[in-house]
Amino acid sequence: MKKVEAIIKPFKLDDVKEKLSEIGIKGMTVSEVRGFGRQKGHTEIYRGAEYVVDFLPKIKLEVVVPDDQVAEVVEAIRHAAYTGKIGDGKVFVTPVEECVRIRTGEQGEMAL
Amino acid sequence: MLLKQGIDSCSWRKDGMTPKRFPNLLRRLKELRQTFLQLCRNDVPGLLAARTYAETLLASLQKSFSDEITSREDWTLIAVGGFGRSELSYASDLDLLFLYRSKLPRVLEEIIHELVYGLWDGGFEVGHATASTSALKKMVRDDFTILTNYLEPRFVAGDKKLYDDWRSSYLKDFGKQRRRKFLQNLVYYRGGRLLQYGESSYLLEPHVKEGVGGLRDLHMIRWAGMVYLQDSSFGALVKQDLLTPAEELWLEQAYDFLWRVRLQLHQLTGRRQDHLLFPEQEQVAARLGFLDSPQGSAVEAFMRLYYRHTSRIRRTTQFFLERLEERHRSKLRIQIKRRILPGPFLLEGQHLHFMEPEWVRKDPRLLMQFFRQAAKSDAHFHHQAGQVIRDNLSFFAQEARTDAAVVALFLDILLDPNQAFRVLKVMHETGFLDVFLPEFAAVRYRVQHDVYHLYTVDEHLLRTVRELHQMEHQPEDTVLRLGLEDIFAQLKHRRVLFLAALLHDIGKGEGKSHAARGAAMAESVAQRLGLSAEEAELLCFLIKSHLILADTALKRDLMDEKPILRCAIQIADRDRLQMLYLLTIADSRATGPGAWNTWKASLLRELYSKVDRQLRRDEWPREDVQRRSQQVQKEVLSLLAGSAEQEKVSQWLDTVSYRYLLSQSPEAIAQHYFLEKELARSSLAVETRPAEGEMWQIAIATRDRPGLFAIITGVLWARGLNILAADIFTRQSGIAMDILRVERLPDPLHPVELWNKVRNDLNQSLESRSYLKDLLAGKKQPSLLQQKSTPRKEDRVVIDEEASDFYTIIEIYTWDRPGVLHSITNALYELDITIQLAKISTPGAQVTDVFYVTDLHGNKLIDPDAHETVRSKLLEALTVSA
Repeated sequence: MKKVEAIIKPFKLDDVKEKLSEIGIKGMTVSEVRGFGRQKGHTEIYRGAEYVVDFLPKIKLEVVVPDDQVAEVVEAIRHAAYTGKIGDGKVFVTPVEECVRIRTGEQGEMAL
Repeated sequence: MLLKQGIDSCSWRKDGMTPKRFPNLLRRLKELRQTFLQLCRNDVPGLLAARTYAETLLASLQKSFSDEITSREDWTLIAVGGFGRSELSYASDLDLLFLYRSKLPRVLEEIIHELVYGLWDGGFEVGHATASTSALKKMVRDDFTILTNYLEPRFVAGDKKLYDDWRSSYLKDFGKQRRRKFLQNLVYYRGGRLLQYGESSYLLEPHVKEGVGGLRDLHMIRWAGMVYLQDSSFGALVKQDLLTPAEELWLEQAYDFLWRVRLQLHQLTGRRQDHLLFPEQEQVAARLGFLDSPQGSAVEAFMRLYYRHTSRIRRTTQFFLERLEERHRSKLRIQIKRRILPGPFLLEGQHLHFMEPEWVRKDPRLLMQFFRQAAKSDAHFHHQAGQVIRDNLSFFAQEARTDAAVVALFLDILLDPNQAFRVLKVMHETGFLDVFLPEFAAVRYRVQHDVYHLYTVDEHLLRTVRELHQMEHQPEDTVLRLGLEDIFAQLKHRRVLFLAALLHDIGKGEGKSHAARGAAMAESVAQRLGLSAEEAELLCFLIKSHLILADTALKRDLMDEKPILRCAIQIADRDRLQMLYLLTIADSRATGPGAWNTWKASLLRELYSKVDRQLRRDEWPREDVQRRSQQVQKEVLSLLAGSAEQEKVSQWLDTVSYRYLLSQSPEAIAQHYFLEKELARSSLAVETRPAEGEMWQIAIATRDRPGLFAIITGVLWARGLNILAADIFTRQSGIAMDILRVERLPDPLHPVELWNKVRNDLNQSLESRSYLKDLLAGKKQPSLLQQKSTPRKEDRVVIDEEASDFYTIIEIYTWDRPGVLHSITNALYELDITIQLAKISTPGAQVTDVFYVTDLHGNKLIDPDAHETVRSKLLEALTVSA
């Protein structure tokens, strides 16, 4: 099992969600986050003074999938979240040791 | 479809997985699924199997509700979606609808918990909704997909009267207005699907359910049957003349075939995967019993059949929807403008139809006149016209085929820039093209199983015609001017060129050398069409030679005179060259996005102008190498006019090779001089600049050493750069100047960062080999995200001593994978072979690498034993890197 964690532009969430459910992803967790990467936030002029706005609003999307579906999921996220401009986001893949469904006690991939 | 409503008040259950009310149900359902899964290990009769499985599941479900439960009178459980339609794969969702009158009964809440949780825990995917009759009505009005999902329901348990009432009001609700609205939604919904799944990636790897001509089209016809006739069977639609018996048969056959494929696909992947990807295509083909044959591989035969079925479904659905729309119009008595055109044909609004369909039998030439008329008046084809055409194909015999008037009409269509593609496509779909040009039938739906050819052969041929028209009438993009306008203006045999475009691949599907076979087949076509001897000869020539230019441009050193001369001898005159040039471009553009790019365009343009110069030789005095290189030297020096370096540059120019002077622009040469000068201070000098399109050119100067090129390919690969070509020059002073061209950068927004990294990597790698090893070790670790496997052909190494006077040419054909170029260049280095020039093209997943090489002393390899060693070492290196 792997956790795929994607930081994407907020307005791309619907596209990504749609694409993921199209390839049979049943559940995901989404949170609103703030952060910056290479784009280093952007600078705005406010009432004549320059304010550095470091953190930009982003969406973090997490989904845990069986190993053999990781490539497909990452590709789907890339495809749906791509604009080609700075700040499109990143995808991280990390191993997941165990998973338990609370209601039933099922473990492993069965519980995904 | 997942609608989880009304179950959020989930009560905590400690009693494990077995539901109290349905003691044996879950075990029974799991058994049924397991048995079905076992059955699907072999090919099963598709639709029948899917229906039987759905029916047995349904029966088990129905049985498990005791009378005590069902006697309640205020709710009902309904199977909907695919379950209601009675067709399920073992991986399908079970769509259930819990419907109640007004208030959610307590007992139903408990049943939902036990049943749905039980099914979840049993590994079934459940799409369920719980709603009151009034809430459902609203949902259905608001959401078209929900509406269609409930069109084919089946009663499972509960209050039968509630079910019947709901059912009849559901269907009665479709009055004239709502039907119209329904049809509009259906057409809109289908349009959206075509847009999404008609994308190129879905053409090679189609989606069995949602794809163009997939199961969804069949469902749509059934839904319409339900809404209009309260009967979803195709037979009922035939009775109402909304489908023809022939269409019904096609649909039934295709329905069954798609289900055979889908069941195998799910069985193979173990989940509900409806995307028919390359690796599974091969396995499904084997499972369905397809075999390799001289006509092509098993998977090609399988996909050919697949495309035949889906294109029939697509077409029939299209006609079906048009018929429905027409019904609405005639019911509304909307006045449509009717005009009678010579033929006689009837133009109803936009749609063209035969006035007297019976006449076609007596005079089959009417068929061609009909197509010509459709082109002339820019008309759509009436939905019944297709049937008339198909019914009369057998009367269109040799006499009609060779009729001069018919041929003239056909050529009019072919040469019509706006109509050719559209009308030819309908000719092809109705089978008329196969009757008029029987040679065409052999390539119908023929698949070329690779990621390079996006379209089936027949589609590719029609698209080549379209590309040719577009090239003629649309202004060229500004990136690279190919000078097509002038060539089209001078064209003497326009109709032969377009015929060649239409026919150039008709020899495909019988093994190698399709061009020669196609040319032989074209002879009889030319005769039938009454072409003059000159035209016929030209047509055969174009078809026979349609690969020469592309092959030479991509695989040969265009600085070398020999391949240019060879082309010139084979092509022989300028008219032919021009036509071949146009045909080659149209052919590449119609192959797929991977086959046509700025790089290929610039190579073709270069080859074309060089062969053209060769063919004009009697008009132009021949420029000899010496004079041309002197000219270049002069231009370089004039660029540096006034510079203190001029004297030194002049001396330097005398030491560099002719090949260098003639292959580089004067500006580049001047730049290279300064680059080499930097080497006094450092061991490496790198210069990068953007080239045409999104390509980049890199010049690397350093002290020459064995294996230098392998280091460079290694570093560029590690940084994600794809090399297209390389020119390698070694100076008398022992300095190596490597000029490379790379494809689009991985991050076009940050080129400076990238080139700094590349420069640093090169420096370090030149200092110690272990640096590169470490760098590549990271790349070589297999990634989770490895490209999915693509069709592969066997690796091949071809060694050619004839094509060049100074170099041995090694051509390597293999499949693309990370670092393959580095493996090859490293193997060549270990063989003590010096690479002088490389051309690397990666059309889709197939790699063609061409190297101009010598031994360490600068001589050709010649010795057959040496060839054998090179071949086996290279193949070994390719196997290891796999």
